[in-house]
Amino acid sequence: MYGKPVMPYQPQGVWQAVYSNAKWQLSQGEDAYRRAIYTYIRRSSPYPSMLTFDGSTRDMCLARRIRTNTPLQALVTLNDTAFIEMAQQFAQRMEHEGGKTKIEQIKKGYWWMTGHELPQEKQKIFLKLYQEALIRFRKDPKKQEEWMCNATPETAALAVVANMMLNVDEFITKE
Amino acid sequence: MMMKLQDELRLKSALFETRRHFLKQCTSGLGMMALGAMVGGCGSGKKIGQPVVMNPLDPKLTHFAAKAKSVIFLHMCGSPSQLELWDYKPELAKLDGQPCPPSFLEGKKFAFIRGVPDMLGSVGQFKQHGQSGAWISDYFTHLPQAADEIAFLKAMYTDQFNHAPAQLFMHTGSARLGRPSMGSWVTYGLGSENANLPGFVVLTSGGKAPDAGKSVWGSGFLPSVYQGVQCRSEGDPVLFLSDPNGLDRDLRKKAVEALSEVNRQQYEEFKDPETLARIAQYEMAFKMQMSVPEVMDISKEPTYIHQLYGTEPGQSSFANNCLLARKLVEKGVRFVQLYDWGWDTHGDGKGTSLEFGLRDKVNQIDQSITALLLDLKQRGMLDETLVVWGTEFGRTPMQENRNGKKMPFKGRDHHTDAFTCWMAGGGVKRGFSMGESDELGYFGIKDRTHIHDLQATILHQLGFNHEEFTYEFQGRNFRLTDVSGKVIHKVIA
Repeated sequence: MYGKPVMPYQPQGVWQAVYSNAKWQLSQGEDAYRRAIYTYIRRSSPYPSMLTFDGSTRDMCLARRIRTNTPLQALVTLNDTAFIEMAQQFAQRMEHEGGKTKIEQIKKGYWWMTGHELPQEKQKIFLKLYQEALIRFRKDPKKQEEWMCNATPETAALAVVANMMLNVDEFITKE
Repeated sequence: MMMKLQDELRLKSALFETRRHFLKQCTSGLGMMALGAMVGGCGSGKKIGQPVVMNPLDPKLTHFAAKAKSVIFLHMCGSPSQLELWDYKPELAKLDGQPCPPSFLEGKKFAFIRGVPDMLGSVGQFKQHGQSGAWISDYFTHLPQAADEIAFLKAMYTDQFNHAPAQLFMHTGSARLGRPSMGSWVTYGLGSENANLPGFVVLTSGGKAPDAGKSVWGSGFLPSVYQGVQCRSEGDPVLFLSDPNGLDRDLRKKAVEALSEVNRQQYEEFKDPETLARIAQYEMAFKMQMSVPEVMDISKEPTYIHQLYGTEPGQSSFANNCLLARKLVEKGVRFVQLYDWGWDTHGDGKGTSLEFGLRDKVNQIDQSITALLLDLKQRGMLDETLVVWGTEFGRTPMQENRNGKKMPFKGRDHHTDAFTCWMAGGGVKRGFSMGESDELGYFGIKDRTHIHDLQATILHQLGFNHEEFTYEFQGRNFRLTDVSGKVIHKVIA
């Protein structure tokens, strides 16, 4: 709780500050992972993923937040480094705390995410994706290393599943 | 009081409910067949009886038939001097070096000029070009070829004399932050013709972003789906476009397919059409990952095109952006906005002088703007593409004397009362000039056109009545042209 604003990861060249030498300096350690409320705000160059998700640009007061649903948002939650790191951490947590078998781990992860049981049909889909990713990473350790370093092929494959889990409608939208 | 609030809340939520239900019924009823054909793009093979997703970027109808299908807006950030480039003033040359008459200064406020400045004759040499006899100065060597395509507005005026508010004024109709930009209005009203590309694309050059920041292509109070998408020449052309390292295309495809399947099951359970929208957006994102790099890659263009535009693949330049603008419009993008930074010619250094800096800047745009006009024409696209060359304000007929001191180079201060913008294609007159400033280029004296008039005209060419094109926000209707603006009928063909 509390503390100074932080500068989490944002892609090179996005931050632009006219009439000022202010720089976007990536925060170190825990500061890079603080909640979005601590993210440094500049009205003329807002944090990109907030902009994509209808975040207020703080130009005007907002009585209600508009809900949109765009492909650019999908790109953020699929590919933004922040979301990739989240998926990798989530995979590791599933492995450590989720149970012995992969299916137990995925089920547990789903429980953490949504607060309810993973239906049979969806289990199959996630498990199939896990196996496909696993085969690929076992065949090509270099690819796996690029995707997730210092990890077993199993963890890396689970991170692919975690990346998808963090993108399901049920997780992103509150019904 | 509390009861009243609760009643209001109920009423409001009922309003939203019925609207949503109405849309649902529309899409699953008779209109669905037609819509299904229009939506196209994503998720082929829809079952009958399954609601079709209303995509906010689906093509929409306008108030009346449009003359232009798309707009390319070339904005020179910093305001190049109209007196050096377009507005020929022989009388001003005669007064060069003489003190400015007091009548010009009474009650006036300048950004930098203090005391009594000297008048400054044009550094440019003027000649008439083309059959239309358009006045263009010797700063331009290529553009005269396209002189007969251009319609000049030579008595533009604005309300703002500082860059950031003036740029906001030009692009959002308000000098204060928070309004949607022109491109956002247009995509909100028209939708997009290409489901695999954003409807509103922004390209920047000149090393810096516009003074007003990203708000000049922001969506303001409109949904963010209508905000301008900045395509970059370094890194991902669109943010987060490339797959993460180590995750190759077919594994990503499998993953997105798995995701769609999970979401489809979710939809079966809850029947929320938003879930279908989500599925469609993920599939569109997946397609964009292919289509955006393809359209943004100019390396495969033929040599003659590179020679025409003066483009070099891999570079970040205004020329490259001009070529990209043509490619994007060709693919159905509605609004392409180019911002080029570095036109603020005060004369406080060589780079910002009229004699040197301005010439360098013109050299960076001359060939590529000409190429853009000629290329669009050759492809038969100029008739339906409105090209606008503009800037936020003009420059004074006086030499700037910052803090009352003589400047090292020739330069001019910010000026709101007379400047030049031009349009080409998109149903405006060819080889035409409208509006006149006085003998010294200080005030518009005939056919003055305001920023809101230009905006009204751009919307008109796209098929909108600017007065009826509104969006309700904070209890009232807002529009791009605020409460003013008249369509410039004289300039329309």
